[in-house]
Amino acid sequence: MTIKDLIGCLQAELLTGSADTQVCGCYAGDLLSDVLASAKPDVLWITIQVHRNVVSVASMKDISTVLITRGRKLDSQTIAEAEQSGVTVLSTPLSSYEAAGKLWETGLR
Amino acid sequence: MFEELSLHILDIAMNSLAANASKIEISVLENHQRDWLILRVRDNGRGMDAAALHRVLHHRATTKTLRKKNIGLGVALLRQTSEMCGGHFHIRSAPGQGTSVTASMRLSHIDRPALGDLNSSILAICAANPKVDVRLHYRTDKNQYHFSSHELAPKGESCP
Repeated sequence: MTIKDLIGCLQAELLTGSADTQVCGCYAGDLLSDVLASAKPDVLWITIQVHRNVVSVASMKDISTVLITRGRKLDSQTIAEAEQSGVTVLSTPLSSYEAAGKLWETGLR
Repeated sequence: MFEELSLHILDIAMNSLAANASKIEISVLENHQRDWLILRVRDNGRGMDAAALHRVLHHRATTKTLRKKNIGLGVALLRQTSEMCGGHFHIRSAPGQGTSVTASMRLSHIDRPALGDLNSSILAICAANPKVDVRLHYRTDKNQYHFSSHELAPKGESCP
């Protein structure tokens, strides 16, 4: 599935990266060590964290897309780092729970 | 951000071992009156020059080689935890002078991870290299506790 199929239902804004980014699953979590331990490559990662470590973790785990929930935004330096690392970043006003529900409904498993 | 602060301590101390330290001093200061929890890991390892220190602080971390991807996130994660919990983070290091990592946080901060199983972390550090003198200084408002792995060892031998 590509990001552009998901942006609508998430009411998401693309902060950096391409709408053609592919995702093949989803992971939700705010504890970075847990994400490091458990997330699979090429998933969309739902989190409320906006620290720059998010980009480092995503890049290390080959996570293709990060979805920041509750309308939070990354600062410009962190966005630049995401761009450099090839990580697509979206921001949605939805909560993590609502976002996960919407993504489940689209068939992303 | 690890689940427990003791895992952060273990992680930072592993850097000390990788830097060939022969002595690692871990301090935990629990000041309830002023609402601070201060962790410090100090070693006499090879230390870092300014460029390495910059990499560590700016996420382009590791001096460890042969990894598929650079890890070096440990310091960044501890920094995040301490700053998220109303504290400060410092590293002092110079080549040949060892390294000292200090992370403070508000004891009462709602997002502060629990200290967790400090005993297991200390044991793991001792076991990782029995020749290294691992010291723990744990202070609270009322009490203090000190441990040294070399004091446990029979004279002239390292800790088993």
